[in-house]
Amino acid sequence: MQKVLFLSHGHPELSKGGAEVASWNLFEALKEQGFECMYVARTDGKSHGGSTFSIRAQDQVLFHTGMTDWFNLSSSNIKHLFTDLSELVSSFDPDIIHVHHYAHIGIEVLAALRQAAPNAKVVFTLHEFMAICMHNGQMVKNRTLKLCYKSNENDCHDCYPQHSPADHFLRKQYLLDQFSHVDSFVSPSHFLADRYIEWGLNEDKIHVIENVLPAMPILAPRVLLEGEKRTRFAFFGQINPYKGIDILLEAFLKLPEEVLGIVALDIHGANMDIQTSELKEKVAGLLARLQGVVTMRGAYESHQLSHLLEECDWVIIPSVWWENSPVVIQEAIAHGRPLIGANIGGMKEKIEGIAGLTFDARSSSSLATKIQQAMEPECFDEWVGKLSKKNDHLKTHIEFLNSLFVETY
Amino acid sequence: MLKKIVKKILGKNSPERLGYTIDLVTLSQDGFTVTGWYFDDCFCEVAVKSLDTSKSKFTTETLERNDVFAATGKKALGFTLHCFTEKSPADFKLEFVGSTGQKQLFEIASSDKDKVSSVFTNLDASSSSEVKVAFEMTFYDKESLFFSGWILDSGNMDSMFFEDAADKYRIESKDILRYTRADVAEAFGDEAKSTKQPGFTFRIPLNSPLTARGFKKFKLNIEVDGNVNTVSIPKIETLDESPLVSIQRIMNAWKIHNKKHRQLCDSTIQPVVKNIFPVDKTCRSSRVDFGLVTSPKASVIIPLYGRYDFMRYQLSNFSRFGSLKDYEVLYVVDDPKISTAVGKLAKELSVVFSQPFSVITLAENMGFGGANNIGVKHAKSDKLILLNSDVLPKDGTWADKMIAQIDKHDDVGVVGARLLFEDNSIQHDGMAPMVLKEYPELLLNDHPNKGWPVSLSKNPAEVADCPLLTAACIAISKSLFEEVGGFDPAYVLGDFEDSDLCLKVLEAGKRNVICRDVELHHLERQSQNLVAAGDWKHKLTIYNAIIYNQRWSQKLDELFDLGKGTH
Repeated sequence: MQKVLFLSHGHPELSKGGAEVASWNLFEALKEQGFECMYVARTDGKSHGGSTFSIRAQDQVLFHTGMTDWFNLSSSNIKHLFTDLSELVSSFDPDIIHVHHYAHIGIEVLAALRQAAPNAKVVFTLHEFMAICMHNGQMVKNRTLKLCYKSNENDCHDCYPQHSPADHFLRKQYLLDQFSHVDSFVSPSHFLADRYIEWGLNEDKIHVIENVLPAMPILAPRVLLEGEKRTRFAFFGQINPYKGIDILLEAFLKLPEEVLGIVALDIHGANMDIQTSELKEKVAGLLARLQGVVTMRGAYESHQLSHLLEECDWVIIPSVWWENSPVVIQEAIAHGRPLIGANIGGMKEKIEGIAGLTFDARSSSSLATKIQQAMEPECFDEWVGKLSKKNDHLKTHIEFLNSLFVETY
Repeated sequence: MLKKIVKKILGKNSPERLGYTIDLVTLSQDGFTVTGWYFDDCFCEVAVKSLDTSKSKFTTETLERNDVFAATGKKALGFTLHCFTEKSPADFKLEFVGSTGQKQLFEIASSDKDKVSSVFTNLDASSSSEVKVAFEMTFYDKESLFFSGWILDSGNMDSMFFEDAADKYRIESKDILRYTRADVAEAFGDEAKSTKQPGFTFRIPLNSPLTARGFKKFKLNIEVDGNVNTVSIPKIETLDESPLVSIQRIMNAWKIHNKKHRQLCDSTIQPVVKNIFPVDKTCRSSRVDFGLVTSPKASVIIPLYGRYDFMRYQLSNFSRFGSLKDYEVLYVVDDPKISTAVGKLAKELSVVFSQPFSVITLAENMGFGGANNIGVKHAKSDKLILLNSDVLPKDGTWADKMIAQIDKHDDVGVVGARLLFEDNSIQHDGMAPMVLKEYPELLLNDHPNKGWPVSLSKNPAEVADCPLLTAACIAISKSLFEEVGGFDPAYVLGDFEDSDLCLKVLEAGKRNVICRDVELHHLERQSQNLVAAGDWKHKLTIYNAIIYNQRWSQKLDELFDLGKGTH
């Protein structure tokens, strides 16, 4: 039986980021398929008796460590990585090490894993552009928030002038050095993969495989009354400046009055409370003008998702950054709900021609036009029909893992 | 002695009250430089503010002033502030920032009125006039006395002289370096108008050390228009402060754009600098090995000064590509300030990376050449690669290719490489002599095609003869390096010792080559730019250039056929 060790920068029960959730879903799915799995998640909290590890279950270990240098994404906690984690890993003796992040852990973890399990295959899943872009891995310019098309040490210096172009160059070379310990990269989107290849990763090492989701029921379309249109829209996800919530609300304000009278938008968004006062004020101002149209539904748990999707016709993803492969797109597709998304990056790749409509990114008037188009039942039916083609991403992933062994033996 | 300094410092407008002192304001081609110090507990930052509130461009360097501490018992930070401007220092004020953020503005020039050491009347045949003189720096190093200051003598000073024991010393005005002083002109207005160059700098060589009496009660006779006036100078400093402080103060009294100042460098400046940075200086070194390579192909010597994080990037790179798997890597820590931090980082990196390396820690700062020379003594291999810490290779073959040139050809001396900036433009493709119009008699080192795309270079990517190579990355046999005496310590703080080494190797009958098929990144720091800088480091570069030209201008002329007006 093949043994797979997962390393994530957070446990999804403690922190619900895309990478945490994606790695967890794969962990659960592989266990079900008979793989022996161990999930190691980094955590902030203090452990009992100062130990480096604690557990949440026999196969779920919490790794108490932290990163010391966010410029180089590096850690000086050498004992944590090269002694403690190393001993744990060699004791488990994995065939595959499935790394989902180095943030909060330190990029040197790749060298530590390589030393601890010289014969294991190290697989690294790319979730955003953190190695390429200091701006939270978003490839959106610092301050101006303009889209960034390519990293370059001089342009990066413009965004982060406290580091010289030479320092940005050194950072990149250092990260590329550390990535040389990885046998195979997984990217959930071609878009993300292409950006990393352009940046310097070896094309032959990158495999584009979509994130694995747990089994989800296909929901029947909402039953319409006589003459009713597809007027129920929903937003799912975190609220932060990159998610385009302001553009979404502005688009609704641009709808003709008679349309505004019949549409509804539910915002299922977490973390509104921790946003900057600037964003909060802007959103509050827009919401005040959309009373009776928009409902703030707050955060949701994953088991509520089906029920919440059932209430809506369309899911809107208006992000102003590129995105990779947002889980919400895959979830909507799996449940049989079409999407309207911005026509850039991962959203364009996953939606255009596959799962719904796209609009000119960052343009509220373009989004308003698409919303009106989407309301027509014929448009909805056309896209729901296309969604029924199912892809088995788990099967693809297992084939990929098996191919690693074919190369080995 | 100390009491006297205290008394002098505590006079009216004392630094005790103000919290700061301006030692010197000097003009340069691209602005002006203010040298001084402030008490640690009064201020934490100094800046320059334009009176018309436009933004001022300036750079500041600070250093501990142990001499002030010795005299006052309070910790003080010395500063050298260079302001880039076409305007006069009088158009600016100094802004000191206190520890709580409060800001105070002070005149840059006004304090000079308080610095007058002596006033005497000059009884000229036609009229009598008052002469004011100030001695701002008086350095004594047993072999000579070095003075700088200013005098309002209407340019009529003939000589200065003094006696000590049986010896008589005299310096004529032709041997005294004079220069304009904007601060003095500003402070004295009309009174200073007839003196175009109030500033002076000179050195008097001594036959024997000063007697105790001569040292304590030093009196200098100043002859103006035939009249002799005696000035007593209570404060004679010995050069026991940090060499970096001394060299900055001396460089500030030396005007490199004035040809006479350059011509008299060998008699006025060089002997004093030689005593600050003695060529026979040695220092203790200790070595720690992190892994060992038995019978290495070559020893790679990498000095570390200031930034030590480069170690991380280099060791990561060497480990990834395996370029130095069979090489001895010797880091030489040439900076006591960072040695503890380097020790800690080295331990960490030795766990993370597979590349074995050693750290040699020097007890003192020896400069680039000195640090390399000590590193070479530790080298186990009979072949060397000298590498800068900010050079990052691109692959795993560079070292083998460079060493192969020494192995294959007995007549090859120094082997260099093509170096690229981070944007892949040319940083070094071999050096050549050049002349700047500011210093027409001096040959400096040029990097032809610097900043160009490689595709525009006429030099094919192959091995070629090249007389002058940068030491950022060179290979040489250890025996040849030692035979020619290694890097010459006469060059202070790292300039020209690489081209000097190359020329010594040529004199020894070898030829130097560049491997243009070997490319490495060299993240050269911008502060080394020769033309733009107006501060003491630039002056030091010219100081080193003068030594370099004394030795090699003729040889360079033959090698590069310069006599035919190439430049």
